[in-house]
Amino acid sequence: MTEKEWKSESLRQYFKYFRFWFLALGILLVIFVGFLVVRLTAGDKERQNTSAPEERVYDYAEVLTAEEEEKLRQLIAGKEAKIGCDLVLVTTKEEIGERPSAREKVLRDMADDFYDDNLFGFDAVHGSGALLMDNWYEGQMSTWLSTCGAVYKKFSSRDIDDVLDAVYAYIETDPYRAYCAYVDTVADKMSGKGSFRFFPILILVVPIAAMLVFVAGKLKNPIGKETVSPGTYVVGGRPAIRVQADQLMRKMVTKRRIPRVESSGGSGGSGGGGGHTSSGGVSHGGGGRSR
Amino acid sequence: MIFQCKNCGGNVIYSPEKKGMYCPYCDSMGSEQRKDTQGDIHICPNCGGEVPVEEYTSAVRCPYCDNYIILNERVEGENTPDLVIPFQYSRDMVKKLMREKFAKSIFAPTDFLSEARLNTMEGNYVPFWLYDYQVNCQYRGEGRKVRVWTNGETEYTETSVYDIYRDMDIGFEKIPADASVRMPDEVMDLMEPYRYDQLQPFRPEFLSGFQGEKYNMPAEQIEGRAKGKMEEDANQLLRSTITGYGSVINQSQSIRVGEQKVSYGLLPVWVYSYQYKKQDYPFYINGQTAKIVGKVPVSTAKVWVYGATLWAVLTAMLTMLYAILVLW
Repeated sequence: MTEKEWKSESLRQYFKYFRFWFLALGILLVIFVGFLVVRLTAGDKERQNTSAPEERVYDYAEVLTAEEEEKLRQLIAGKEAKIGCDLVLVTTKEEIGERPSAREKVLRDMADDFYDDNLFGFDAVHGSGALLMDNWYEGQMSTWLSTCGAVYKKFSSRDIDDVLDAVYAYIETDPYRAYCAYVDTVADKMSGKGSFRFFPILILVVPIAAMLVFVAGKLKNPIGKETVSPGTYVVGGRPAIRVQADQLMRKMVTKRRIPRVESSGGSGGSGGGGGHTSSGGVSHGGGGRSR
Repeated sequence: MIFQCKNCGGNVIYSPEKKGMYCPYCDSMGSEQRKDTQGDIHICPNCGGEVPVEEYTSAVRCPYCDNYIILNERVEGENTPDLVIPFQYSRDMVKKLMREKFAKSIFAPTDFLSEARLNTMEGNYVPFWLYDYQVNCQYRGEGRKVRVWTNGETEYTETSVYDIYRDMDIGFEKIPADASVRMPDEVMDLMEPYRYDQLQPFRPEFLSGFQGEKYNMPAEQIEGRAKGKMEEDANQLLRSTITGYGSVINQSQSIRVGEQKVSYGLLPVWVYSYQYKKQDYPFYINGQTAKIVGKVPVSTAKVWVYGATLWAVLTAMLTMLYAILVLW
């Protein structure tokens, strides 16, 4: 076999070996390009509700600078068009009660009423959207995320917790960053991005792991397997047992008391996605947290 | 000695396919005629060419006339094998098997299974000492079984202690140990097992068509290997009868050898020597069962190229999948 023939044979083997992989890659590439074309030609979602005000940032507690408010408005405007949901932020400084559970309920009603009274909703009045109400009254600081329409339907208790976690990671140190996190997290979850947050790591790890397993497997190259068993050379295949005795000599029983496991109390503080109806008769979901 | 054809004078060989003496020159069966030779064993009695006879060679192929010469004094008298398993697989049958087994070894060099290379394969009768042992094994130990249950808020643990005693006789038959320096012990161990139902009393005819060796060392010298195998097997057989215990403490164990016997046998092995990048890759194929033992030469660079391709394809696919899911 000449050098040229050898190379040609190697190349043929290579393409034959990866033919299904290349085929799958080609199909995925076609789907990807098609999807990209559809995505790029399609515009943003069109707003249906014109009754709601244009304002989205109500900083009654004055924790944001004018510049931060403006940046937040721009961020919200961009995200709303992508996900088709209103995103509202309200900061307050109201006396809403001493007990965390009581003030979360007060805040919930305030948030729901604010959403309803201002006729928010991207696709309809009282349609899809989320409203974060954050109270800054000293000693009664609480947050409530009110959801409605598509957001209400999509968000589970865990999703609401995730949004509140994102907000509470920065709320004490940087309120602007915390509210940006609220907008981003709600938008990510509504667009599905939140479900794939581990994906980028998988893109790195899975192919490298697959390559290493493949290379190690191919280079392992064992010489051969042992095919002899202990009975191979035994006449008749088994020994002649003269005595096989298992005699019980003694038996001991010990006992111990099992310590009773006390059930722990409620986790407290975390929100839930359970639905309720606001005083205006609109279905809302949501959850809250105190700090 | 040489086996010549009565009909055409050609060299008659043992054919594993036809299970008898066969003349490849005139296609006749059972036409062999033993021709005893005398004189220098390094000279081919047929053509006078120089034959590569080494210290323990008992059968050899003349590189000039391709006749198979069997050295009388190395298969007679004290060198007479008691038993032999004739080759059941011919060169062509083994070539086919090799091609089937390694057909998917794309990382092997292209000529690894080429006709020319595979034709260099030689059938060898390897000398083995076959050891018989009649042994008695006794064992004593203490076994524990633990049972745990709960009743209300109380957990009970019951520990039962047993006296374990075993007494068994084991007859080991023909534990093989190769008596050839040329053949690696660990490879010959991997060749096992041979099926002893095909053992036959030795006849020099079986050697015609193959290479052969007489034993390189006496049975006593390598008995340790056979005894080691016997003791390991006896121990495992003994342990296999002790079951159902959570833990076992050994107290005493003995393996006593009673009657023992040794016989001298020739077992068939095909050897395919392949060289790749100045390194030897010998393959050994059991001439009776066709079990193949050997490392396939692998092109490391080729493996990494394939691995890198897999990495690139997977990365591209996952990236596109991620982009689609995110943009959805």
